[in-house]
Amino acid sequence: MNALEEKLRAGLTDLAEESAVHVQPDDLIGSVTVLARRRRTGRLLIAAAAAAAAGLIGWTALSPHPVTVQPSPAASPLAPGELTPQFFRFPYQNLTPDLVTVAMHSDGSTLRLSVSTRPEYGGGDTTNGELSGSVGSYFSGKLPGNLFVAVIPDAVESVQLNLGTENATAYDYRSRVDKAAGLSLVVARGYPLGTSLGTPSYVWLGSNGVISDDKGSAFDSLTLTVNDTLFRIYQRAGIEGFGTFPATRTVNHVVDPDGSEIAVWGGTGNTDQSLGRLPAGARDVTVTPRKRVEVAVGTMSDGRTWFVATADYTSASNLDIRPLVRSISYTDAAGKRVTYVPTMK
Amino acid sequence: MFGQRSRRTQEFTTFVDSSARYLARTAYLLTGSQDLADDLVQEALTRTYAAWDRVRVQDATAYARRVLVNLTIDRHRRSEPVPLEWSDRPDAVDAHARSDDADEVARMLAGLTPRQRRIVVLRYFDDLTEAQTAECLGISVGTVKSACSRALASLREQYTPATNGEPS
Repeated sequence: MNALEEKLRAGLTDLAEESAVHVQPDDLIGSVTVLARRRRTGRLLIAAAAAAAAGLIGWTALSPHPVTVQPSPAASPLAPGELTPQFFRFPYQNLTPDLVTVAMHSDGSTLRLSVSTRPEYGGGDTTNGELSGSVGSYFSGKLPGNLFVAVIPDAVESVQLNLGTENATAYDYRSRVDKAAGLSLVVARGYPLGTSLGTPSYVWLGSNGVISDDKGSAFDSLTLTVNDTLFRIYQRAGIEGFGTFPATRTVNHVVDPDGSEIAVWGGTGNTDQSLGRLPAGARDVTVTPRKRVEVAVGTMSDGRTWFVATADYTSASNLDIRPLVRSISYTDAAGKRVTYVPTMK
Repeated sequence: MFGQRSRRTQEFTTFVDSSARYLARTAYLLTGSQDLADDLVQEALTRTYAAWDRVRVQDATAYARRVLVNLTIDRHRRSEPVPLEWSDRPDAVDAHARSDDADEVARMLAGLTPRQRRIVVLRYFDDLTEAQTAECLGISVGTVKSACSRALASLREQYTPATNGEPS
């Protein structure tokens, strides 16, 4: 053990002493019990209980919403006055986070944001910026410190980076929702990977179940219900790739079907979800899951069949690389019956 | 059935009482944020309880730690926050109460990549072996060795030990 390693051990131990424990076993047990009961009865919980369980376990329990392509509804005009200031920490890449404070004031027609950034533990400079836009409209702006602030005129369910967002910038972003005011705030810090720093574009699942973005784009979408959870897959013509609400979990291993047209993502280790798309023209699709895995199959408006498989457990090992799906059988465009067995690579 | 559930609950409660502090400290070092650490520890322990029937008690801490580490990786890659209600002002942390070692280590870690930081925390705070670290992160032992070596090389550039009793 050399001096550097000794310092690391001592320093990490001291640093860890700053942490606190805010966990109560009864809360954990209660949330899991509620979720298990929901599965046994096969009925959705009331919104409040579902929200509590979903926040802890990651499930999203929503009442069914029709998914159509429409812009977000205009929010009611904000009453003049101050909104509650919001605080965001950005610890990405450092253990001494910056604290971003967003103060907001509405005069009924214009929403003005005052944004300041400072090192949370003191020292360093404070940077300030201003941003304003019309109440009830989406607006965004770039502020000092590679900060991007956006206001969405809806209390969204979830927000993500938009499809086709340039990869020349890495974004670390957070969002806050004010249901009473009917708006959402997204604050992002950009880390340029080259010389450019692009402005992020967002897509969100609105409070009415509609998928929208800041450009008024039209999305194709498919909603599947699996394990009592609504799962939405969306894509946009001309843009490679797709998105999901809730976001698809990290893919630890990718199934590579040796050049066939089936693509299956996820389903390994601590990932408990698998998503797949079948070749164009596939019909009479049967997806056979592994034990304790539920599957839902549906067809996007472009005619392509998708499936989602979700396990009701979390694998104990990262090295468990078995797919959640045992086999996929379908009749291809030529009328031939095909069975595909996913393998992990 | 009622007796089994009570034993299960008691086992898990005992586990949480003994492991929560350790998991919270690991989460804090991995994320640098008390709020994030709270959320991740809560979710990791919830998932552990959900899988309790399949988890051996003696392996529970390792299981929960593995879930926790993967949640931090997921968060980093996914970059999609769950929308929260308006929050109160965060608690202030008295940075001046921090030891010199902690302060210096915090600055040193700031220069590492997320993967390097995870490996350094698991190896030098959690005291995992290279093989245990590899299993926790789902990577090979060789990758752990090389990433750790690069991390230490990077840290060595920032750290100059005092000589002759004088600060560098």
